[in-house]
Amino acid sequence: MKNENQNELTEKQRENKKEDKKALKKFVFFMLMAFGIGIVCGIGGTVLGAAVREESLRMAIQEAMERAAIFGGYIVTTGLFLASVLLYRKCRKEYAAWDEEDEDVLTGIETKLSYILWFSNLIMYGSYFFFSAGVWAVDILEIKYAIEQNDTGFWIALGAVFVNLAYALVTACIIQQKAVNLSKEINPEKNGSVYDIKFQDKWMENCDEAERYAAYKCSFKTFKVMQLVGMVLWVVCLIGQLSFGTGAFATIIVTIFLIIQTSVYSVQGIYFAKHPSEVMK
Amino acid sequence: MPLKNNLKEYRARLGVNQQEMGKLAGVSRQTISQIERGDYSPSVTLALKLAKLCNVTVEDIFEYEEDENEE
Repeated sequence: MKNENQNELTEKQRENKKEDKKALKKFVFFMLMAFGIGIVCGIGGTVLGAAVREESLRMAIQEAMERAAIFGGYIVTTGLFLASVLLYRKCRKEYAAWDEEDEDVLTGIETKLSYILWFSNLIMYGSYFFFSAGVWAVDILEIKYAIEQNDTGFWIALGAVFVNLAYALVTACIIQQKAVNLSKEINPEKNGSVYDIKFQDKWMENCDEAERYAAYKCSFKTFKVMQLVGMVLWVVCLIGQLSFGTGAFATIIVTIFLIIQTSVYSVQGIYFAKHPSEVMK
Repeated sequence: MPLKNNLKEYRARLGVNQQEMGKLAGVSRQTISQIERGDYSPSVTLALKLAKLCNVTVEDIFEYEEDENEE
């Protein structure tokens, strides 16, 4: 018996070696390709960085960013809001006309509601971006100068940035509330208010095995994609740091994000290995 | 999917719609719909619950057929 197990182990080790050898060639190729892309980006970044350091070009970029940051936020929020309203009204109409038999109608409604929730999150996270970009473009550090010079333009621009943030957050909340409430009407077993801090946990508690399985698959896909996105962002931040003098802050933040992501996943995996009964809860 | 089922037939015998079936089984209408279409294979616990509701055995509702490609 012991000899049989030993033979199986050796066979498995041979299989592992073969699999690793096969995958290694592809891995080395991708590493070399990434190295090449890195060199091109680095050289390109250095050349572009030198060009952007020209004062007139820098001013032009800052002005364009200021306009984009202030107006772009309103345009994006309004566009996504209108799209959400149209979809929501369609959902309401279809649900009112539903004959309680045709399942495809409800599937269609729930798909549209998923898009609405996606748009609401885009509005919310987009508002964070436009707020940061707006505050940078308006150059909030010049506030003391603006007070001394009584610069009305500065205050109007700054006000527009803050109003945009509030507009986006309120809009996102309204859309989410409407979509979630309709979903609760369609699925009466679901509970929870979008204004509840623990809404995500409460909603998950109401989900059955099929819905949880779908959520877990989505989460794993997100984890895999964010690993790759994190690496790309690190490269971009590094180029910014070396070529545009953006400093190490962005690079540090990205690496912190990657470390937290992988650690949470690993710690949770270790916990479930020790407490397998918790997996099905 | 190698799991075929007759859930729709047994649900019709019970005289309940998918929403009501879901409520009795403790799952959503969507899950009942997905099971009936063969898009989702229930867990052992859920399969047993459904069988008990329909007053039949699990094997009456669900049939496992070997995938031809697996052979």
